[in-house]
Amino acid sequence: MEQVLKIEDLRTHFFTGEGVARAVDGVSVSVGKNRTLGLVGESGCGKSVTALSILRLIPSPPGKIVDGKITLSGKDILSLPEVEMRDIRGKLASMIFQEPMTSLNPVFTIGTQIIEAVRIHTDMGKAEAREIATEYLSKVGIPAPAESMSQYPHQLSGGMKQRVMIAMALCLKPALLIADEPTTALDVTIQAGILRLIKDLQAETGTAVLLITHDLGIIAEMADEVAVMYAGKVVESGPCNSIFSSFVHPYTEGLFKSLPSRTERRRKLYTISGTVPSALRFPPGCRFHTRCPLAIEKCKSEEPPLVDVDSGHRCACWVRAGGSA
Amino acid sequence: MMLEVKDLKMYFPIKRGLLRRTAGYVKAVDGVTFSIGKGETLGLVGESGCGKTTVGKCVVRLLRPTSGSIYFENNDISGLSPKELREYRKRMQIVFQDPFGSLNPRMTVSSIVGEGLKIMGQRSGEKEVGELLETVGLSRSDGSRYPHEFSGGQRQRIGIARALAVGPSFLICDEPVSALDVSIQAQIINLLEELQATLSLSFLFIAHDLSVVRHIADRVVVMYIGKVMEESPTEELFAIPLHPYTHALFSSIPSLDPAKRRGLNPLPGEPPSPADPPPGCRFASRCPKVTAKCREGDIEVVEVSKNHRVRCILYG
Repeated sequence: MEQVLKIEDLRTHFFTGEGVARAVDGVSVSVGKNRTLGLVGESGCGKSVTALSILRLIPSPPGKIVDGKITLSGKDILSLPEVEMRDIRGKLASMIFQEPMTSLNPVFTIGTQIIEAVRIHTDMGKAEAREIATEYLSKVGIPAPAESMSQYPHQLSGGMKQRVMIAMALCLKPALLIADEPTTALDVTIQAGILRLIKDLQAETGTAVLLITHDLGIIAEMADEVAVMYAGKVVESGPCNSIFSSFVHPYTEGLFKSLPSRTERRRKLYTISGTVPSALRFPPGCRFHTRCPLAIEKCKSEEPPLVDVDSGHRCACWVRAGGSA
Repeated sequence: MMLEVKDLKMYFPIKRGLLRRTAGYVKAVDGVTFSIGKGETLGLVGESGCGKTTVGKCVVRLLRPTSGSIYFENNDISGLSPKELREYRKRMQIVFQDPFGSLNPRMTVSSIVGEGLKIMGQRSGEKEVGELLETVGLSRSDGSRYPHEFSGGQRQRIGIARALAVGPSFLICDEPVSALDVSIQAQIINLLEELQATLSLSFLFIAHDLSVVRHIADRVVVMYIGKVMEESPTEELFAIPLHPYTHALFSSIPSLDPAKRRGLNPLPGEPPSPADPPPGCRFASRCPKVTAKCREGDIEVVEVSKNHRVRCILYG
């Protein structure tokens, strides 16, 4: 299958006064055309840093992509000069963020903002760009799109702002859409609409989607493939069905088992003991060993590789995924 | 009864113009009635802006309600002065959503937890505070540290210890786990349930996450734009939701099984503004089963089966 995005052994570190934070430390994932990859994990696992690395939006200093390769539609992203990156962002790959409240500029109308995005990347005239903007606002379900163009962000609700962000992100038909917790700040009934919208537009344009979320329900609804991250690494990845029906890694298991809806009412919930380690002090060996109920001696010193456990389903665990590799 | 709330209304004035004249009211809570028994957990659910947090703030009297009554252990506290309320605050406490914003960063954990004890004129020594910290799963030595040294889950434990310090019998938990990661959520939910069993607490559990509410609550109240739409024992509500809004809420939650994708069925439109709610049923503008009658006048609550009440003409 044609891969739109291919990330190989990405390492993004932050050089802080307190030491090196290895926020992303050897991540390899890929997304094909018309496919959705769900990147799951708890806060601080490196999922957002992975996304920002693709667009080279890591604040530097202190951050730096120290190693790895990112290929986007055949282009080697990490070797491009900064000037060319401007062409990539918004046109080849665009991103929507968790907070639609802060991602729009409050002093410009939404029309101005979308038209600007279109004109920067194309040689369209104002009238033509306005047409595209109106078309996409109507596609994302903004009522009276032509009139809404002259509205300011504060005049819209959170759900409507997120729709504007999606219109802006998709109006140039990017090959890749990165959606970083796109519905976390929204109510469930609004969330359903936004997710549906992303799916419908994907069906229309064939955009590859990298969906970042901590919500396993959203992954189940949206993703074709899933990668579970913990402490800067992918610990398990594979087809969505296979991950949900037969997860292997003890961390993935813990995530699923601690969901209240999976247990009987009032039954004590399963918990993963301890807390996520700081990126400055990831434990040696398997990074999950400090919280893992199955950890053996080997886990404390040697890092488990990602190995195949089923077709396309990979897991990094000495205990569950064999110690042969 | 631990708590009985009757026809509670909380209107916030909208001030406009040079003279700050009142131009209207945001009817955040508009005639809410419910009760909570001893040792019971009532879940209060709804989307942002439905008034669930305002209900919580009125009950602990951080707000003075516009009208209605709040009986706490059979005494009406809705009109009490701050001085008179002090006695009640020993018995009811609140745990907030944001474990980052609700703890003073300049105070040590001991002084945060001990402050309530001091105000109530109780002993607030190292021993008392240490015991409280252990009750919520922290260690005694944590008392000398500052909030920023703790993770979100641990901070929520500090918030719970602070609430428990004065020995309440009733706890309001306002979205206590929604800022936390799933694995940490489970720890806090377990802690709350353990505390409820050992200290025989009653809970008003305010949340938008239905799976959490389903797990912890005995009964559930569903709110929409200041009004109660449905109230029912938890299991019955999840088995047979009656109100079209409750239906819509439930079907908006993605299922956890990719093999059973239903495709999401989003509700059309957006909630109306609580400053200018439409006449009749407030859900009418988005309801798939709306009729002309829904927009005419106030809809009365109907008791469909024992303790299962719904505000919808379909059942009238």
